[in-house]
Amino acid sequence: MRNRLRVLRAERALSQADLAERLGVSRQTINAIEVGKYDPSLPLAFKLAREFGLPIEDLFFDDGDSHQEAAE
Amino acid sequence: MSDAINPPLSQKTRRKRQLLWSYGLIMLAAMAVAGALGIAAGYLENVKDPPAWLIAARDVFNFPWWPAVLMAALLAYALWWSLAYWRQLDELARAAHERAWFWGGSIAMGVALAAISVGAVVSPFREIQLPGWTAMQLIQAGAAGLTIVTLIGYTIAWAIFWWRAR
Repeated sequence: MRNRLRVLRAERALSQADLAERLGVSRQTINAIEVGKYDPSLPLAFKLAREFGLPIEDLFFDDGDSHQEAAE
Repeated sequence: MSDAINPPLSQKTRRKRQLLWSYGLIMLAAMAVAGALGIAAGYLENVKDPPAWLIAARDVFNFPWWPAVLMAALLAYALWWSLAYWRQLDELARAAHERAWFWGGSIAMGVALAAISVGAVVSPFREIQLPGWTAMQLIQAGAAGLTIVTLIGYTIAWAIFWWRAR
């Protein structure tokens, strides 16, 4: 699973720690999601999407998903 | 220092630190109490020609459920502590523990059990004698060894999980 978390976070000038604090998780969790080492639970994925005001599919996509290319 | 350099601790982080400190202090206190009871029991045991009150006190100190009471209290505290600690962990930290137990703990325990089983039937291990060890001490050593190996496997898997997630 890949995601646009780092890009979206940078656009809003949020640090990993800021985002983690807002979502009630650790900074390590945000980092692991960003670098693709950890796939978040569905509740956390929805929280992230809500935080950025986006549908969940605009934030996360499969490795073979062409949606990523369209978004980028 | 500014907040950017030294950000305020979140409520969860504070809670986690409190829990870790309290756990360490309680366990140290328990060790101190157990040590004091052991020293007292040893001292009372070796008094020659003890008066009646000392014999009574010795009976209390030597009463076999002293260690059981202490261990039961510690286990109850450890269970409460584990629940409180687990509740404040976020999902990545929980995943680290779950995977560490599943992979590290179970594989290490399997290896240890296999080693014990092979050692029981294969020479020269099955002929090894430990003079002076009672059957209960051998069982306790086996249980402790199995637990330690399992914990080592768990710790290695836990460290690998965090190393890979960094």
